[in-house]
Amino acid sequence: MNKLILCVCGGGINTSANAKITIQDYIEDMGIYDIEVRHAMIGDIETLNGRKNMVVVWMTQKNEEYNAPGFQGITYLIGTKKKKAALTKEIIEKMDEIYVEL
Amino acid sequence: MNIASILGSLGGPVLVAIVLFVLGIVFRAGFSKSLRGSIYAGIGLAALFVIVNNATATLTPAIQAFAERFDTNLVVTDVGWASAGIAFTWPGLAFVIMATLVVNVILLTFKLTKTMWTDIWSIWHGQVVGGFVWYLTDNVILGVIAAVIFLTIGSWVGDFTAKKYQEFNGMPGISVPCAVSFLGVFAGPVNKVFDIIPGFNKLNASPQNIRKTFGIFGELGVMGTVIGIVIGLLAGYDYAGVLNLGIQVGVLMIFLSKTVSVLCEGVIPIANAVNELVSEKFEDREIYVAVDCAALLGHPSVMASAVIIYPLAVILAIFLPGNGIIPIASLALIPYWCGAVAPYFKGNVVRIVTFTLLWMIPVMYIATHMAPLHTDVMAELGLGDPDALSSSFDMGGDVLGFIITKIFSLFS
Repeated sequence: MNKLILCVCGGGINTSANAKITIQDYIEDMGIYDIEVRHAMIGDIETLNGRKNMVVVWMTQKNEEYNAPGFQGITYLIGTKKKKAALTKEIIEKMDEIYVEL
Repeated sequence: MNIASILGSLGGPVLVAIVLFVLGIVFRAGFSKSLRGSIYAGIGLAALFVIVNNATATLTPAIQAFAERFDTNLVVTDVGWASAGIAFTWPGLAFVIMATLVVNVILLTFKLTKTMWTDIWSIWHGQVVGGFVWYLTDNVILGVIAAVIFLTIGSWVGDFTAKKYQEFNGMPGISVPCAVSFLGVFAGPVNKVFDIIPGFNKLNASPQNIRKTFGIFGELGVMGTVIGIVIGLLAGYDYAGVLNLGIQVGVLMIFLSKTVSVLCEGVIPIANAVNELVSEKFEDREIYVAVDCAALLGHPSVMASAVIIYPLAVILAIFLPGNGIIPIASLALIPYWCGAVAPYFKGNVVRIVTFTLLWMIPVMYIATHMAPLHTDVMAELGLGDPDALSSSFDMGGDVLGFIITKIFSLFS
């Protein structure tokens, strides 16, 4: 199962898409090409609950009950370039930590 | 052939692409990002036209048939965020973007607002107000002024609600100047009223139980299909007609947001370039960065309240005397209303549902009242059939937008 970063917001249209595009840019700059980045709305993510090799970037408040490591992602909208890069690094590190060959 | 007729012959999607490309270059988004963004925006808008036309073609006859059979006033087709088509095809699109940025920077410099609102996507709500005023007064400049006033009030509403939203959602530094935050202004005082109603002030409900009970019926695709089936039955269709109408409404619910998503995807790189350019100027100030209201939907009480409201909204619409619009596509707006008021009701589902249904009453009347204007503007811009009455909650039924449009209509 491939690595997936899932960006979630309330509508699945703007905010999460924005985070997805930004994250894709940053990880490509880091030379990483084996992570899929997707965006979705908060009402549609139940089917992915518990998926392996997935990190969730919440553009809303974090849902602690969702079965995947999560990060608060509003930095991708309001933070400086430095903060965005630092958050991306944290996310990649978490992904490496939880990755299992399936 | 003059410029105006050349531009007029290009149509909305192509014009949007050109405007966004130029803005992208001006704000240094880079050639390829501007080009890709502008093409995707054009595609998204063109697809929006397709979905709206399909929806009105299938839905309008059914709604008319139902209204005739039961002799009701419910003749307006709810097209939901298809109204955003007005925002991107009216002549003042580029001017409002430039003017809003200039006004926002001036207000920030003189500390008259804390909200840095450079998200050129979200300003579409103000653009629609501009479109309405332009049509009524035949004056683009008045439309631009109306739009900028709407958006400036929005940034002050954003300031007013910022701390509450930041705390409740655990997200520092944001402001939500979206049209829905206007509900937040009223939710605070209403909560104090709810506090003193004996009995009611003790009521609440568990979000988790609600989500489980509603299951798949909390999803807009399923909900839309159910509503379509109900309308088909009420219109007196045969069983094939009823089931097919259900699916067609499902198409509207799901694919309307998909086209908007592509449109957005096109606007994002250009919006981000604007954002970065302006935020560099204000790096050392305490400012709130404007974000889309979708950021407010995280608390479990929000979606739980929304799924309860979906069926109640339709029932309310049918029985509200003098109302002309049954919410269908606009149901997608309800989670955003709930998200805007949830912090003021501290996540209390009963209060969120009650307030939102009460707010919906004036919105439905306004949307009904604005339907002829909405229909005319959509038709003028090539977005719809002039003979099929259409409207929406956002922005056909927007309270603040209505007030501003009415004031400016005095100039026509």
